[in-house]
Amino acid sequence: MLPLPVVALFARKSIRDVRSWLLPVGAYALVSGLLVSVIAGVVMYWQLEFAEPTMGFTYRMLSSVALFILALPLINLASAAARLSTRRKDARLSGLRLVGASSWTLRALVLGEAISQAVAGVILGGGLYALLVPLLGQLHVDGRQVGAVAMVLPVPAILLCWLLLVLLAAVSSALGLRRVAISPLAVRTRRDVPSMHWIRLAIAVVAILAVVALWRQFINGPEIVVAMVACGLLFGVPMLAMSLAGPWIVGRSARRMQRTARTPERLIAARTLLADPRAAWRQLQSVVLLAFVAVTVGGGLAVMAQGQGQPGVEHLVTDMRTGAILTVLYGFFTVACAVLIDQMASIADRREVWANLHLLGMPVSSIDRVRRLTVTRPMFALLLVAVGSAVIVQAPVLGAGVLFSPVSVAGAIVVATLGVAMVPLASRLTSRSLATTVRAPAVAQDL
Amino acid sequence: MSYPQLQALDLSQHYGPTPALDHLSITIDRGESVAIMGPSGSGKTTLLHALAGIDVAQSGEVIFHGADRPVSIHALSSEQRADVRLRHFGFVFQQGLMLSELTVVENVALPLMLCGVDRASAQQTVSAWLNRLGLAGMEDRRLGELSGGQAQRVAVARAQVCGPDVVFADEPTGALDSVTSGEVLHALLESSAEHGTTLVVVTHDESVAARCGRTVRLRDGQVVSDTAVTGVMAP
Repeated sequence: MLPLPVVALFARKSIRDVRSWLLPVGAYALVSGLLVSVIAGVVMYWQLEFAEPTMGFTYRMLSSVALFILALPLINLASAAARLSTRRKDARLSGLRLVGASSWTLRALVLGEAISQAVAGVILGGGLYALLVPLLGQLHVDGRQVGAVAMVLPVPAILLCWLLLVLLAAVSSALGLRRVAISPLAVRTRRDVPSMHWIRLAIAVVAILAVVALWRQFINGPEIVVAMVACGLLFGVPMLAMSLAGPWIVGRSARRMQRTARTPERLIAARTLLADPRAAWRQLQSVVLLAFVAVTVGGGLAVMAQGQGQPGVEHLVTDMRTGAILTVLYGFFTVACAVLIDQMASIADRREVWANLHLLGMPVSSIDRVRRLTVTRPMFALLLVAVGSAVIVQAPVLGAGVLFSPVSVAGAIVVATLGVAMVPLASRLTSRSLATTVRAPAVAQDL
Repeated sequence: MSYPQLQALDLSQHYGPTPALDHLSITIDRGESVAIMGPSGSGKTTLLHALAGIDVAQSGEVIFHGADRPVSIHALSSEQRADVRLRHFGFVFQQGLMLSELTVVENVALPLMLCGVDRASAQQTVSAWLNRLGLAGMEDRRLGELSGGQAQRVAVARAQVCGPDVVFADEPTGALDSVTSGEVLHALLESSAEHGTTLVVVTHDESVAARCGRTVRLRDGQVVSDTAVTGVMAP
């Protein structure tokens, strides 16, 4: 056990090193603000009085589906923030190990720091939520503006969200620390990269075929069962299939890029992806889900547009369209934030690699292109597969949508494209940070 | 008749109150092999970084005499200095500066590809270099699969592959045993001598310095001795 003054010294040094905590705290603030506003939106639907009381069930169910869809991007964002807070402590930790701190003490210090950053971040996120409330209050549901008051979540619910986030941060950090080996000379993160076997793709294909078969079985059942099964089958199973096939697809796409690379940027990006395809998948899996949702919901809404204006459901299609657009764009924004956080962390983690490339004479713009290719290349490969799967699974609905309301389908494509564009944009936003890091003077260790 | 390749004029650099370079001036001629020696903290690495345009000293100037007109390294932007490093300099550092994700052949081909040479031609040139340095058959290996000596010979190949004017080496044999160290140094000196490349080596090792044509000793950021070595051992 370390004496208290040493712990205090560690804490003081952590606080003084602004760069080490500013980004994780900011990341947690973002997660907290987005999560609480999403929960507030869902609760609003559950508490709203509808002109046609029977419509309440439909709205509540749809809001739950939106929450289900947004859960993965929000968890990804929270995990990115948690990973960020346990990085870059090598020098301090090995120094403490050298003076006799036990491995458990060091882990406790890192965990304590991660939790305190999470607490600070989620509380700051309350401010972001407060800023979003009046904006979200402008939403129209069932033909009337919901108002800011409807978007205010009770304090215990907010506290519960914050507690969940802090718990998630603690668990993620603890899991991350399992891979860290601490010795008196250095702190190393083990990187075990299992190979991407084709069996993953085979299981994924079987899962997609199963969705098609099961969908046909349940399509004539009671309304509520159809709705529940539809939600689980249409989004859950394809996502499970993609999570099995995703890293394999990233690996295949990177292998192809490595073989055909004509520029150093593409070669380095391909090799980086091949070294850890799971990392790229982890970062981008929500893009796949959201693209799948955009295609599916876009087709469905195009078909439903036919029923617009019928008594009792005058506003349903409009509200569903607004909800779908908000869900998809909110989801993509969340993914973009996670990519931004991961890229910032990667710039810090791989500082030496980028600095060495610049030392050899590689322009910063080329290094930046390498980094951005490691996001865009797997993203487009995954999008191709996700959209392709969605089109296969939803072929009848999409076909009908194109026939009945091509404008709605085109609208869905525009929204999805806008959403997807946020991801490379987020990566580009970190270019300045890369340039600053790479061009920082290399302090000569031996003078 | 000697022609200057690099000139450092009145360089000064402080890290806090510690002087790393103190009004230091030095001229290095084309084709010379120069060992820069001195105790820890004497300014060796800072001088190498300033000469190579990796960092810019707080005051003073570095002039590089390439095939065209002389270039004031310190007057260039960060990206212009990167371009000079790519086209005119090679580097062999103790830690190798290699990318662990790339294979041996890809690592060595990287500077050529950055200069615009197509991948197939670059890999052909690299294979010839790897053969010369006793690394044939290791093209597709990762750096983790090489011994320390092999990894440093890969670094020598990468430093020389573009035909640079100057190769900068910072403790190139620092992490190697004496036998392997001799082999790496031999590869570095031989390849430099063969192509008339200027070689600047920062080292603590007297045996490394003994194989260079000139030894410059630093203390507290100043040159305390500058001696041409007579009867330099053949590479």
